[in-house]
Amino acid sequence: MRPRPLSADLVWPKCTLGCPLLDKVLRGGLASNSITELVGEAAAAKTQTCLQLLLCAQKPASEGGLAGSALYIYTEGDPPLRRLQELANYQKPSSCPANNPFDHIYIERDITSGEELLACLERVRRLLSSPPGRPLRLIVIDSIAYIFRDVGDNASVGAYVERTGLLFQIASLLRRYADEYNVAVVVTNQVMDAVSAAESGGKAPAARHTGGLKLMSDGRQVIPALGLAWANCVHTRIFLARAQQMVVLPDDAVQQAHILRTMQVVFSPYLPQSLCHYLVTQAGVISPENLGR
Amino acid sequence: MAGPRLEVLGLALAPGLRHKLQCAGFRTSADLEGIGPVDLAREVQITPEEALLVLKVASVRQGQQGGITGARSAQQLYEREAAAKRIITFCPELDQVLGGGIASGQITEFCGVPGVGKTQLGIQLAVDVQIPEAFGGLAGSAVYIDTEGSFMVERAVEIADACCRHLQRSAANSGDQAKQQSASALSRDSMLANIHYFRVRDHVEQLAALQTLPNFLQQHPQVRLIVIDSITFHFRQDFQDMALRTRILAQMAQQLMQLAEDRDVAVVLMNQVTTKISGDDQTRLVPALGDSWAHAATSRVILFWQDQTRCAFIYKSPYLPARTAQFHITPEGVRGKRPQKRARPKDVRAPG
Repeated sequence: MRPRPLSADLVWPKCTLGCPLLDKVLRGGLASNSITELVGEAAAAKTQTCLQLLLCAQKPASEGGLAGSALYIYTEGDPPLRRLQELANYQKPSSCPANNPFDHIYIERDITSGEELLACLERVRRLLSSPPGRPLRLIVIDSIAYIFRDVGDNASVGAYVERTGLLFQIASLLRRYADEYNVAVVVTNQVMDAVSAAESGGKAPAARHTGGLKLMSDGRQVIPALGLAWANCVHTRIFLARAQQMVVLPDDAVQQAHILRTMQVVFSPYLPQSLCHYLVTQAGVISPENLGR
Repeated sequence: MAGPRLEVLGLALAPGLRHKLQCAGFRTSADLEGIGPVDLAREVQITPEEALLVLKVASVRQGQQGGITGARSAQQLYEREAAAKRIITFCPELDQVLGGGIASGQITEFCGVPGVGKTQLGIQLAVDVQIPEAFGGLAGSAVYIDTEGSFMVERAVEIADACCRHLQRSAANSGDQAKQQSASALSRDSMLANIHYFRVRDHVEQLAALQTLPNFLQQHPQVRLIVIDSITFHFRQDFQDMALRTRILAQMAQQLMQLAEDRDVAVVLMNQVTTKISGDDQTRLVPALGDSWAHAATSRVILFWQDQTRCAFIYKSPYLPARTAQFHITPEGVRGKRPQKRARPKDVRAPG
């Protein structure tokens, strides 16, 4: 084994989120060679963010993208392709407007178990090592929680141990791909309501994988699903939530109200903990940059 | 030789070799005095290598090593430990509870939940070990074994830059020529070049990296620190046979201990924590890798969150009291008290 030489220009490329203010919070976007988790409750705009990333990854490096193709592994039924089509009209790379974004997105669906996901990821190696078109630079798994969350009401300790083993195998393979092929990996996860120690009679431990933060979603305290073991598997954890507030964009003629949302860096090897607001509009995920300034 | 006579039969040698010595008329260690290995080999009809070994074993003086090679007295150990320089963390409170910083010749393990700052601490130490001698540093280099892919060059650059700036500032303030000279020689590039970075992607690669370390350290004697971040990840999967895992872990612990001892380097291991369910349905956090691994490290430090503050607790150490220190992760790296309040990064505030 030999050490790899380090130098200051070996900074991993980032994938833009398609909004300059959100990119600023993430220092240029999602890091490639790394695993990022988007965690939040239903309707926290996890999938919207993923769809936008699928499109942004195709943009050339000059526009903050990865100039590659993307793989979308959707586990929750029918992938929202119509929404993707709609977003594509807004997120086209300006340098090449004739480019059809669907040409550079691979979609994998009907994955119902952890074993199937692992097998699917094993097959992805071929796509990574000899891509038919542009190199594959982004893998999105939406969501990992959906296939892993249910271990049954009376699950034995053994069932949890098995689940943890499988999660670690998947994480290990993703980390290997991230390193070998400079690919950015995004995984979405769900949340559970936080049960305080007092409510559960001292049985439930306080969540220790939330970076010392109280994560609030729609006024309730929540914790990421899949537990502490999975938290070890991601490099960066980003929490998406709704902030119980509606806003109207100042230049909006029809005065449509949007839900104000928060994006919070919970932990990351390269980002400080921070929080910013964003909205989901027809054009996609953006920061309400004109508000409150 | 002033030492007492040792019976040839009592020397720590292969029985065949002792027999040959006896047959050739060598009965005590005194008989072996003043004879060279070549002559001895000719006389006893053994190879020169064997003869050299015989002379080495026989010439061991009592009171020094007592016949067991590698033994040292408590006095020697104490002197060595007292003279050893420590790697500071840049957090004075944390250094204090660690007894002045990370010790050489020992294994220090940090355990904690994701996001508590294990990787940050690892990068910080890999930079700090390079602090020049003029500042009381070790002026060494570091081996960084990254098993998780969480080492990021852009973060290492920030921490190295901050360390350079700090040293240059303090050199300028002190007016000390030697300090100024050594500080101006530092740069982010030299600091990055002095971090020997290994990326291992499964447990086989991890073991292979450890195997190459003795040779690597021989070729790079300036290495004073080995960081493994984390020791755990590849051992939490792929092991159906837990007995095999325990054996491999024990072997790994032994190799690391020996490295720390032989080369007098500081070994820093990052470990994850896991939830343990005890009999009465209570859960608590314990360091991963089980009970036998708990003996691997000389000192064990638990990193945890107390509300929103990071804390380090000396959980196990042969010489340090159990104490807790607070530390912070700032843009500059691991630091003590919080930096002055600055305007928060431009959060967009909601109207109203």
